[in-house]
Amino acid sequence: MQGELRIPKIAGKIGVYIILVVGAIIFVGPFLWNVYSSFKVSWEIMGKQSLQLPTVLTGVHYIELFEAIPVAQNFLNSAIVTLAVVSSNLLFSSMTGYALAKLRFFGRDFLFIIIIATLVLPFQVVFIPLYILIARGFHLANTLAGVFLPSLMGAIPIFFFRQFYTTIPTELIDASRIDGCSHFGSFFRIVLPNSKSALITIAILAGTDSWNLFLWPLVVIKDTHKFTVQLALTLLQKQAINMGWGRLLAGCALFSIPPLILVLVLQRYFMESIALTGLKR
Amino acid sequence: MIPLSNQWRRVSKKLGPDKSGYLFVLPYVIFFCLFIVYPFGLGTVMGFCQWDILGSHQVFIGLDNYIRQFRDPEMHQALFNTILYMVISVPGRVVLSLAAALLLNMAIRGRGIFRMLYFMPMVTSSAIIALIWTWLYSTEGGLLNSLLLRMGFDKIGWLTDPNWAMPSIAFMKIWQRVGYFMIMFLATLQTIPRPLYEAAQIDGANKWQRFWYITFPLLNPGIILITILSTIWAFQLFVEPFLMTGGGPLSSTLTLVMHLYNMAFIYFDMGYAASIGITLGVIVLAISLIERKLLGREIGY
Repeated sequence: MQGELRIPKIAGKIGVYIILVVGAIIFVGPFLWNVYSSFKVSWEIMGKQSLQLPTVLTGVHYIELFEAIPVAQNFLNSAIVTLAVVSSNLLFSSMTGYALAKLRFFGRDFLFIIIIATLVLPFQVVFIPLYILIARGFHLANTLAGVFLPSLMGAIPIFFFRQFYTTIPTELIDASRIDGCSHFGSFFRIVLPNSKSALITIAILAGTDSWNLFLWPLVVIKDTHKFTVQLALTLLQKQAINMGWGRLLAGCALFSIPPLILVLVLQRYFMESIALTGLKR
Repeated sequence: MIPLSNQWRRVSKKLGPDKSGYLFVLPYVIFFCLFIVYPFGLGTVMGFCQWDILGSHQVFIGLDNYIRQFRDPEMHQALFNTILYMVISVPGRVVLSLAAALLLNMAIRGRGIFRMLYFMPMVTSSAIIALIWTWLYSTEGGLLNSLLLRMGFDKIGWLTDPNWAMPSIAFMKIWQRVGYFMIMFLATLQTIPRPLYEAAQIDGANKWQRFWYITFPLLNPGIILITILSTIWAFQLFVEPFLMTGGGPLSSTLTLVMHLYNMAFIYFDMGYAASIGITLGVIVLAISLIERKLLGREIGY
């Protein structure tokens, strides 16, 4: 295989694996602990036995979870936000990235530089005025639209698409253009269908990012039935003080699942693309 | 008529052959003006005003907000905390993810599985991780203290001791991010052709020299990129201290963003909050530029 440093001794090799396994335990351990603790009886979760496996398995905390917060509604809210963000990015960010990569028009590179500049701009600078704009200007306070609107397009997806499209060959596009296709036509009929791996990658990135949003929804949404999944956890946390830890752990375990499934299923694309984003020169 | 079409031809040439490109980028340009440019301008103006959100009047007070920041003890504390966090968290994750990538690169089997496992914390939300780790760090029944007690050590007040609180959060964030950066490094490592190492070995280079002269220069752009990105993210720390410690104990985990949030949504001092946002932006920009100068210019976009 390419890229390996050769290790002369077998002992060295075993040592490497040991370290890797210890590392894996460190990285996965807390999640495993979260899951099996959520099935423990309440008094076994706290205190000295917190590390041990459950002696009695119980699903009562999951029932408590559904009684404590409107789980389905929260899921739906998160799903709406995520769907909006992902679909908007897949359409508009890809369009923009494509134009920056393949089309030639005055001001193109200037626009690209500006987009890169926004990467350095931390969210906090626009955070407060953005809230004023959404709440006062658009009267979208306490709405899901107010939550997803600022995330509909982003510098990172655009940048990613631009890198992606600079590397695809132009022959196919040229062929369609010669046949009389407009730029839009060739984009939607030829380029997009062939951009599957990029689209999936951005879907995952933007999807997990928006699923995991916290500060912005916290500020925008006030009604608990409009809470997203992450905000619902804060409700559980408040209840945890009064013996509600089981519920909280159950909520954490349950809500970790959707992004996890997404990544497990689309792992291959995801891993490849992270590699690409980091290293394209 | 004829002069007009000549003019159009000239303008048209300047605009470029693919003018439909403007339509392609139009949605984003609108979005950009609406949600980035306008708030940025508004924020700058707000920074110079005093504005209680309940009232409809903004009072222009010039640089007063910024002078107030200069004297604000909470601001100083937040700045210190955030920088402390940055100093632990950024090198920590770079070094560990590099080490993990090098190790994983040496493993032949199970690489895919390890990669996925190490990556898990990255996909989980910060809120969930913060809550799980609140438990892990719990002084009474937490996992870490249970382990320490079993091994014969004393308990540590991970989140209750002002000296440990921020570092504890930093460790947790390093844990969360290592997997992601490790994958980036791993991908570079796997593109280095093996014959390069073999040739160096034949020429008498030992392991350390092989690393320093072949591996490291190729990883350098990635290292710089991760360092700068992590620095920018470090200044945005909010969720974890918010959920885990509420800014305590003794304000030791109060971050700049938390301070901003408090000013805006607890004290409703919008003008002041906006000015903090601007200051934050300036600090982040300054530090990123400094880092870029110090570490080299090999990002090469």
